[in-house]
Amino acid sequence: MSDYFKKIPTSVADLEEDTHILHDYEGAVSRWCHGCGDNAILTALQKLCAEEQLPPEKTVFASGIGCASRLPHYMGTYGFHGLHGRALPIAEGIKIKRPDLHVFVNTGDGDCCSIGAGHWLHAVRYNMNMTVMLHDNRVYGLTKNQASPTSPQGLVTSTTPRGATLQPLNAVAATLGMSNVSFVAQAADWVPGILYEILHLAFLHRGLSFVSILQRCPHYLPGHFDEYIKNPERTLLLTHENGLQLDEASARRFKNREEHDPADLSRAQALATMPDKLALGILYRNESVPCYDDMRRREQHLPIEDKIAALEREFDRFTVEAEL
Amino acid sequence: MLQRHTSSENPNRLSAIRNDEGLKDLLRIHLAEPDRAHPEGESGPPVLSPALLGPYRELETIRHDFPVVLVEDNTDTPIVSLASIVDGILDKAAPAGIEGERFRRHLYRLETSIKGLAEKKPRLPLSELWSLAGDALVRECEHSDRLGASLEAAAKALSHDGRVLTCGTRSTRRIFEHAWQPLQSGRAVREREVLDELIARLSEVLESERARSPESRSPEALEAALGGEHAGGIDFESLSAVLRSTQRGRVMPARRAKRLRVARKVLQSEHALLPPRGGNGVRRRRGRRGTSVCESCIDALEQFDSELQRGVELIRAARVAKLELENHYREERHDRLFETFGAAQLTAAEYRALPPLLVYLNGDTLSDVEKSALMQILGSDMPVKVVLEVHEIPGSDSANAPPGTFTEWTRQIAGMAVSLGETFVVQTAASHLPQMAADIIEGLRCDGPALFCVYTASGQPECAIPHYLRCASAVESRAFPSFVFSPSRGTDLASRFFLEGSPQCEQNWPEHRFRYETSDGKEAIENLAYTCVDFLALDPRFLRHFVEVPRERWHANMMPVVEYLALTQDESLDKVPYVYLVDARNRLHRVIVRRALLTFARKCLANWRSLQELAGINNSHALRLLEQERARLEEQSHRVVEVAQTVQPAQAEAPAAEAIPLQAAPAAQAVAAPDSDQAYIESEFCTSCDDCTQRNASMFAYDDVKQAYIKDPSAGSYREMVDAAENCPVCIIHPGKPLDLSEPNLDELQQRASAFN
Repeated sequence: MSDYFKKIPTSVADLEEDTHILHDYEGAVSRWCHGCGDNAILTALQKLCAEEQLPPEKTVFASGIGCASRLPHYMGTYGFHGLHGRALPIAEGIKIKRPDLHVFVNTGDGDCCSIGAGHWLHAVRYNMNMTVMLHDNRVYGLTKNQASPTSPQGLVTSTTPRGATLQPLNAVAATLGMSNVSFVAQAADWVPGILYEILHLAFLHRGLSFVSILQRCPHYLPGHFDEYIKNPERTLLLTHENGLQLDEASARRFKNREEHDPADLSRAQALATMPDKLALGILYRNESVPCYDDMRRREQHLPIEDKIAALEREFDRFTVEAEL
Repeated sequence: MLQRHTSSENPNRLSAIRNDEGLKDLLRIHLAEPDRAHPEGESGPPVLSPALLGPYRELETIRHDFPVVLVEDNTDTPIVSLASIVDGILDKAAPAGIEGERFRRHLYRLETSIKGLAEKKPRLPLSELWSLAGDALVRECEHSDRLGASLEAAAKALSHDGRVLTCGTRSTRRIFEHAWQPLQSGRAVREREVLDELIARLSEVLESERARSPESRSPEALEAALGGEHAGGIDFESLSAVLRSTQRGRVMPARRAKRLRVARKVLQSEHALLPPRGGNGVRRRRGRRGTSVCESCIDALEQFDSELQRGVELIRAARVAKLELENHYREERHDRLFETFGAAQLTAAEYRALPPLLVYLNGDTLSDVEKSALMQILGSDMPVKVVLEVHEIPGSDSANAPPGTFTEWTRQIAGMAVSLGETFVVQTAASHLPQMAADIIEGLRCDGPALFCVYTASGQPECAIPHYLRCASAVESRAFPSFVFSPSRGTDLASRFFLEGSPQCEQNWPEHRFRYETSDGKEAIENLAYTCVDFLALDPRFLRHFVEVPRERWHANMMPVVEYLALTQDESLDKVPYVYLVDARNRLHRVIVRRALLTFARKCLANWRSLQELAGINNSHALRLLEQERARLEEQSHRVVEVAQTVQPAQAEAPAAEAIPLQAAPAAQAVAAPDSDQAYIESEFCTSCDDCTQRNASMFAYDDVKQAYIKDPSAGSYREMVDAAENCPVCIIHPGKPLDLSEPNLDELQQRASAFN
């Protein structure tokens, strides 16, 4: 009997349900700077929601603090603009309580890789079913130009007036090394077709999909990514029959391609650390990693008597029995 | 009698028969009616058996698919043969080299010993039989330490346990029962999960609504909620007044609350019928029957009808609950739909997913009413799984029936079910059930009806041939071919129909090499086919159709049955069919087969050919098309040669440029480049950054997927266009040429624009 609940057909009445267009997913007017790469990510997400017909009331964007974290305001869905670095635990809380919701996380390079780094590590390990986007513009923009963990060595900012001292953190390579990692991809805001395809595949993946998106900050780092934008030869597209499929325009522009099997972790690590080229595509995917929300889901919706019995067992551990 | 089968075109052959007394005698034997002096059952066990079965009569010493272990708590592989368990242990635990060989032999001895014990102690699980057989072997063995060590290591590697079942008259039913119960338990667990979730979520909605109601904020309700310990310390009247004064929000409409409560009640009542956790999976049903297993199709139809009414209520409640929980319930749309909701509103998928029933039938004693009910089930979408046990082939009345009137119904029902198109069908013999376990599980799990036609050989009188061999012989001989039809595996027959369960399915009859010793002591080898005539030779009731011919009466016109069946009626006029049988001392005998059995054999062959066509083997349509295509190509090549011969001189003078081009010109495939005089945007690469649209919203705009395009190039100056191109962060705006040639500083602007055109 159980099977028909899952395949309850959409009854005759369901045929009359509304379909959503991209406009339905537009929220407040964006307050990002003109030319900001976050706009491309916003548009790709709105297209994704429309393509998958995600019910706006069943979709949540969670974020921390930073330019990127303003994204939930601009989506016509539910959102949670949280505390600095806490986008991932908020999203995990939403997902564990409401597994029926589609959960997205937008976090910046400071938000995720600095103050939220501990959450980042454990969110990957928990592998809950959500799509995480790291908007990596390599600088703190909202707080006016401070160096972030991914700022390149030598970058002059208000906190590094003599240039950043340390080598930048490679967020993609770091994620590939984390326990239980199940999906890692890299995209760039200036290649919107590829960005959309990657986000689409990330959304379809069951587990935590981590997508690092190189994002231009035209205000504080103008021209920072021009070497890639103006020279397509420096971009390497990772295609595969089980991975990225190119749209016509991207196929015309980008001639450097590599057939990369997303199951090949060691090649993924090599691609993530290439010094001379920028690899865009699905670096790693492993569908077999179990999701924490699936494991916990089995425990949910217990009958009330079972819940009471479980609570009693728990409380009994603290019973102080009188000595006889 | 001979006249009846002769043709006027064969006077010479007829005359030859009349002049050959020896051949005439043999033909008389072949064409005569069987001797009816011995009524059925008095023939006794056959003293002869098919020659190819000779080496297999001592079955206990030969490794085969039986006995099987009915593995406990495993829904995916509930049936595993003892031989494959032993092979698994050998793969896992056998040491290398000579020690490994010793280990293998020890385990094979143990396997043989367990087989013998399983016959005597049918209720013991494998682990106990393993210990008993092992202890007995160690006691009898001279090198008991080595044997003991091997058996100890093997016992540690033993990963399966459960009752051990030998191949017998009741093994089919036990195997199906064993596979059925855990599937029902698993189904109940999944059903419980879904119902628990729906009930819990409905309760959450109703409970939160109740908590917002004025009643729950009354002093009494608040006091009850906090417990008696706080009664003295809190002024519940004041607390109630404060809470009531701050009450905000809308109250749930009464109609919606009622809908939620009704849906929850239906789901809860269904939940109460679920089997208890850890039980045997049998649900507590309303009505007089309490099981999902029936012994008749009529009972199954009746029971399914009552289940249907209950299922409709449940599905209605579940649909309402889902719509409500997703906030998609619209009274103006859905009220009318659910008011008239009935079985007619169920989709085929819902209908097929109703609680399944398992029906056991005896194919040999089915009444016409039962047959009709069976066809009704098979032609429907009902999730009813029918196990049809065929105890004898041909039917029980066939041994004494006139030629050509053998009972065929049980051999044809599976093929008829295949033609229905949407019914899962397995036909096989009890001996082949272990190797078809995965198909059986698939059929029991599938939505909709399934038919399992299993030949059990239970109707045959006992004879010296083991039960397993008699069952396997039916499949081997094409009397009861093994096949699977699974509609869910694809949309065409190539994806749905599988004949691989039958041996050598590309051939009309399976063939095997047969070695024997001739009368002068030399070894001879020949290929022998195993036909359904060999299969009938195992049945004592058909002995009257076989007549042994002593060597001195052999004739050149005698031929094996398989060759005889390939002849036309005219060709077979002066031929006498025979089979090779062996006696208990393995001596070979040539035995003439009476005409009646050949009628049965021809029917079996015709049935087998139909199955082959379904499986795409020697498909007559494909062969005919192939022949037509071959003829067409041959004709075409002849014509080309003729044309070449006539035009060759003229062609030698023709210019080479007239050759037909093999490929289209590359230029035709190239994408037309945009006109560089006109302004355009590579919209595919637009990052929606708002830069250009903020500069001039009349000139630049977004399309329906928020990618920029030039809406109106004349809506602004050429300077604005060039500025936009220079500031576009991804350099995708191409300004083209100016439209207004009177615009100032055009030279400078065109100079700047050239970097983007």
